[in-house]
Amino acid sequence: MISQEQVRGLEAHLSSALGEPCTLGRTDRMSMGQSRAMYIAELECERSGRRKVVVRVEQWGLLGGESRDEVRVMRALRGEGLPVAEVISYEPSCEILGQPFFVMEFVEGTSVFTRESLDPYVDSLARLHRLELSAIDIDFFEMPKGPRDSALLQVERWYDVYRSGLAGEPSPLVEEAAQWLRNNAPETEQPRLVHGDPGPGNYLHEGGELRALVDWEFTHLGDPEEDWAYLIAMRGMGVMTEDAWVAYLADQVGIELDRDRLAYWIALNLYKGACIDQTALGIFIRREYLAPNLLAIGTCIHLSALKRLADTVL
Amino acid sequence: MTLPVAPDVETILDSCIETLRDVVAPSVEGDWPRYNAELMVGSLEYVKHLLREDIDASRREELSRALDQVKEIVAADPAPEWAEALQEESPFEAASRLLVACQNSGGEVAERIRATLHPVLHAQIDAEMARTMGLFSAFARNMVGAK
Repeated sequence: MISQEQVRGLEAHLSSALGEPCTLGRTDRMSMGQSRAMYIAELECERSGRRKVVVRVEQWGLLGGESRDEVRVMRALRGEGLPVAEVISYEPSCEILGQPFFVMEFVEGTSVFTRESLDPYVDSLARLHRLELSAIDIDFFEMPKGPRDSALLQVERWYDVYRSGLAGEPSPLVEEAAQWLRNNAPETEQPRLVHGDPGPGNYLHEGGELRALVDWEFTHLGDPEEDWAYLIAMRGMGVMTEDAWVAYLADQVGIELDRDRLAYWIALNLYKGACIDQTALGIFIRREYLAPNLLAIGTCIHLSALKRLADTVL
Repeated sequence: MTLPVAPDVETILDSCIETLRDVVAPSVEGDWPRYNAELMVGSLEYVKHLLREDIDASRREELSRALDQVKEIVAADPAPEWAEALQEESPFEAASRLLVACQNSGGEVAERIRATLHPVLHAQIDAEMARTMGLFSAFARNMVGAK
């Protein structure tokens, strides 16, 4: 919940960002999004009138992400013409809401999956992967240097998140999976921009039209197959089978996925899930934030990813 | 005056679970509050399991017994990585180091170590997933966009 004092701080922050006095009306917590607390806020501004904004608040490092790069990549991609919500402001300190946050324009649309929304969505994801890195202002991401670094950088990134957020002792199966992923990392021909969390639930659409790609906190430079694997085996798992996805993506966007490589990237995504979910348990056990969704993420959601990972590669 | 008999913890928890699930959650307006009410039902169901047994101690003992078997397996193969791993005080640290070493070395001993440790670790995952099934169901129901 946002307290009255925080509302006043947020009003001052937004008034400054928008260059006109604004008051906040109703503010509702959204149920979508686990890594960030998301609020839809009604804003009444002196000159521009009424508008809705979304306030996206960090949660004690939950899932290992932070807003700074998310904001930077959203601004860069919006500049490239991709359907990305406009970021209004970014507050890196904890002074106003107790955690860093950013505010973006509210985009009309639904994130509930429909089959008709899929074609424009995968077209946009493929477009993201085709962007020439030299033409975009995203020099803040680490560039994979060696041929296997697209995979290895991600293995170590999530291993660090898992180890630094560990509540108690290590999980032997996570440790073993990390080593398997190091030993079997494939080569990547050309690093590209990778969304990191693509699929149903992470895009908004309306009437068959794609309105916005959302949730850019895991975006990085790497292998686009990582995104396709995530789409197929994580967010899109209930949409169609792996075989059907592979055939669909070949037909829709001309992506020919090698099944052995796909298996690796699916494993990496499951490992990433198992690693980042552990941060929720740490935050809960340390009593930094006692929301029951953190208990769920840190226990059963973590274990679900770990079980699938172990069944896949160990 | 004292109560003739105090209600036990599990009965009170069951009362809370049934009331939250059947009375409170269905009448809550708003996706976020309702989601939290459903997660609280799962949390309380998990609490019941945690009250019944010392799960941490059980897991530690199970893994320690498996590590005793590993000691017999590696007795015939005095490679330093096995011995170093088995010197770890924590069974979870020891199992972690052993399984990482198995991935790096391969071979028959590595396979036997994995075959000894994996069933224990998988069974622990399955048991914990069963204990947290209520939380999982509540979480999955509220995954926006998922079918």
